[in-house]
Parts: sequence; structure tokens; C-alpha cells
Amino acid sequence: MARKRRIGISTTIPLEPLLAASAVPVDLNNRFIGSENPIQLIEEAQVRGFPRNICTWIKGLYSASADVDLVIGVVRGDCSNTQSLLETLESEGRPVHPFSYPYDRSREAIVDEIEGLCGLLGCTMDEAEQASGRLQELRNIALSIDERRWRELSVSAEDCHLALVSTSDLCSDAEGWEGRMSSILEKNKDTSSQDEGVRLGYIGVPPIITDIFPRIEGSGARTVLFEVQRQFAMPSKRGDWIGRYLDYTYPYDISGRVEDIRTEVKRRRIDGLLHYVQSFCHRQIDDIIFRRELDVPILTLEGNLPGPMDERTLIRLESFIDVLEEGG
Amino acid sequence: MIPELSFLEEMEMGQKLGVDAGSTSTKFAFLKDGRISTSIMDTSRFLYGKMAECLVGFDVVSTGYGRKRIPSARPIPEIRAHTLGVLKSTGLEDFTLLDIGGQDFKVVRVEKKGIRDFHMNDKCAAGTGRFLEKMSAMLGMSMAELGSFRGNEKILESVCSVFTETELISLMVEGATRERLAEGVIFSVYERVRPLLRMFPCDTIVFTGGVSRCSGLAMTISVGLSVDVMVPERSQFMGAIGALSARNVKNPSKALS
Repeated sequence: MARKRRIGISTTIPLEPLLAASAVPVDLNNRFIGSENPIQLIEEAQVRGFPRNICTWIKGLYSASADVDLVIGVVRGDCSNTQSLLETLESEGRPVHPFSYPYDRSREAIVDEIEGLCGLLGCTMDEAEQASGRLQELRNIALSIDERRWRELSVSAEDCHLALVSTSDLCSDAEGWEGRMSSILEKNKDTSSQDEGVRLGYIGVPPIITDIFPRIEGSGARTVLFEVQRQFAMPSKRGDWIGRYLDYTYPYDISGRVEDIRTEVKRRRIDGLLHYVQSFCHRQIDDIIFRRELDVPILTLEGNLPGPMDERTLIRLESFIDVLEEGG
Repeated sequence: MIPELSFLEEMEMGQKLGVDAGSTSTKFAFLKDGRISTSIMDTSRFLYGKMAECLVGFDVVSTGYGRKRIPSARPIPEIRAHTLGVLKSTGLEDFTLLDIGGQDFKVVRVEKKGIRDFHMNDKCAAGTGRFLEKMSAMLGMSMAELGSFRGNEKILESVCSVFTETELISLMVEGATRERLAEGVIFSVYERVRPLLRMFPCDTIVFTGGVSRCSGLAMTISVGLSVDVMVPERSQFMGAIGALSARNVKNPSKALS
């Protein structure tokens, strides 16, 4: 049997064409942060000339892409550094493909983009559509874990985060992914409801701080919303499979994200938000709008290098939780 | 008994003690004859000299970087501790707290005795006590002398402590006077905290922490922002006094210990 092509992705993209074409998605972020020595991967990129003061993820993505057959980078809707990443890889003779979530959020444009993926990988739109049902079934498993988290606290925050964030590439194992989710549920089956504590929502890109969710739990708070991770699982129930990539909030204008967060803050009875931002990322600017538009206390946490939470961040986190516990 | 901890001999076992184990110095606050008394020592001596063990048997509430390194202490977050300390020490109910310590600064907006919002510096210690220590050494001045200067204008361009050292050397070579450079250093600290203070506009700023002893900086802030800057008595001890006066302090959770 021919070896399946391994397709590196820079963030969540429509996975249907990959699954229809029997290609293996490899989320390079997960590959980077889950590697044995992510700091080494950053250094490798810096040795190749990546600047020290640029987003760590981009450097990690670069190094983590070494053994994939093709890199699909999202050049609009995620991170503009990705364009330079793709051009760098291309200049080194690596196959790359730019994908864009359209600025105008139009169906025509997203269909064009998805057709582009189908053409690239060698499948038809019909075949992609056929793959969509099973894909959403899998994503819905992660969404059900998210429900258990915020409704009952009967799944740990860390496991909920991992379940949601892994929907971007199904751990490069679409067949075995459901089994992984069953393991999470099995592991948590005896988890009794924890003390309520302050209920926090995590907004922003997935964290580079490796122990952030256990740290939050250890500080006496409960994370009950994982904004972008949940979006990776395409929670929108409206429309068809293509429509889900238009309802997906993360790559489009911030008003959609604000609306989604506002709804979930109310539904999940959230007391405060943690806005995670990556050093040197343009999304740090979003903080202004979140603070203006969301009527709930916000603590902004910045991460740069992968690793456990530093003492300074912990002090800020504990102070925030303390203030929320005291009712402001 | 270590001189800085000799006060323990006069305390009864089980008596409450507030400890602020900061990045540079560890401060203690306790009641003596019904009044708050304080003591201070180097944090490195306190933590590495295993002196925290001397506190076993007392009812210790701790804050600061080393708050979890003290056996049997109940830790509280810094923002709460410092705010409580100021409330206890000043009687004010509405103010913006500026605390500049050894390696951090915090700005807390307090309204009707409650914490409304706060900011702490992140990822960079420029403008903190360590920065001033470095600069005073470079200028051949004591901290007290450096802290007496008032900054009026921007002289140093860099936003980084390390680069500022380089810049200082260049200006020295060009013939700038020590006094002018000292004014520049103070002004650069003011510029560092100014945006945070402007986020919480208020008529009264309560300035605490080790750096609050720099009277020239307090004056620079007051003139620059047209506000009253109040430096309470024992301004370096607000965290310890807050820890001493904290109520409803939980025992540390297992996950934190």
C-alpha cells in the first residue's frame, strides 16, 4: 500500500479534502509544542535566520515541517507571518500551498479556496462533501466533551482543551482519534463534580504555556470556555459543511468572535476571562476591543517560549482570581 | 538569633505575622503593644539561609515571590496584600496604587475600598528597583542620591535596562554631567509607569514599594500627571502590613503546595 501523504497545516483548515484524498493532516503547531524539545526547534529556525523577536509559533512551525510532504499555510485569517513562512519554505524547494479564509466571508470565495485544496490533493468536491459527515461526527465528540466540561465539570480542563485543539488534525490519525476521545472519557469517568470556584473563560489562540490549565485549576478556578479551541471543532449547527467554514469565527473579523464569546460567557456563567496572547502577535491588539466590548473582567496573559508558567504570570493569575473571588 | 528576626523572640507562638517575601528583600509586619511593627532582610538570606523555618509556630500570612516557600504560611496574592496594606495605613478609600519593587511594578485602581482593576509589568523589569540599582552603580551614586533627582525631560531613549547602560556610557563619553544623567534615569522610570497610571486616572496616587523612597520620582510623577502623590509611612512594608491585616485567608490547596 502506498504511503499516505503527510500534509502539514499551519492552523485549522477544511479537512474534508485531505480525508477524501486519503492524506494525513499534520497540525504543525501540535507537532511543535508536542515535540520532545520544542526549544531546540525554535533554535533551529533562528539558526536559519528567523528573527529572535518574532512569534515563536512560526519558528516552531518551520522546524516541525521538516518531514511533511507539503505545507498548507493559512495566509489570511490567521497570521500574516505564515506568508513569509511559506515563501521561505518554497525558496528551499519545499512544496507549499497558501489557503485564505476570505476577507469578505463570502461563500463563493471559500468554495474557491476549498476547490483549490481538492485540486491540489486530487479529489472532487463531492468526495470532500462525503467525508464531511464523518468529520463532523468526530468533531461533535470533542464538542460533547466540552459540554461535559462546562455543564458538569466532569472532564478536566486540560483534557477538554486537548480534545478540542486536536480536532484541527485529529492527531494525524483520523481512524484512531475516536478511540483517543473514548480514552479521555474513560479516564474522567470517575471525576466527580469539582467545587465550583470562580468560572473562567479562556479566549485567544491556544497557549504556549504548557501547564496553564492545571495551574488555573490549582489556583482554585475552573476553565469552562476554550474559545478558539472550540471553534476548531466547528460548533455552528447552521448550514452545510461549507457554511461551517463561514460560521467559524476565528479567521474573520473580531465582531464575530466578540459575539460568540458574549453568548458563551452568559450561557456558561463565566465570572472572568483570560485573554491569552502570544508575544509579537498582532492579535495582542484585539485586547483593546475585547475589553471595550465584553462586560466581564479580563486578564491578559502573554506567552513567548514553550514551557511551564513562570512565577510572574502565576502571581498575576492568582491576583485576578482573588479579585474575582472577592467580587471585585 | 539573626538580628532581623530578633523580633520573633518577643512574639507569642501562634501570633499573627505578615511576610512579604519580595524579589530583593523580605519584609515582616507584626503587632507589638497594639501597634504595627516591621522588620526587613535580604530575600536571598531569608530563603537560602533556611530562616523561613524560624517562622514555624506563628500564624504566618505570606505574599510576594517567596510566599509559597515559607512552611505553614497561608499565601495571599500580592495585589490583595498591597491594597490592604494601603487601606490599613492611609485610611483612603479611592486611589490608584503604584507599587514599584525590586523587579516589578503594579498599578491598582481602588474604588470604595475595593479593587476595580490592576496591571502588572510583564516580561520586562525596566523601570524597577533593579534598574535603578544598576543605574546608580553606573553613575557612582547611592540609591538615595539618585532617587533625589527629579526628571523633567527625556534624555535616555532606550526602553531596555541593558541598552540603557550602553546609552549611559555613550552620554558620559560625550560629556553629559552625572546630574543630568540621573535626571534622565528618573524620567525614564516615570515614562515606563506613566501609560499604566494614565489607564486609571485618579486625583490621588499612593506610591509604595522600595522605589517609592525616591522622592524625586514621586515629584516627577506628581508634576507630570498633575496629581497628588502620597507616599505613606513605611511605604516599603505595604505587602507585609496587608498580609498581617488580611482576613478570611484560606489554607494553601494541595495543588499549590
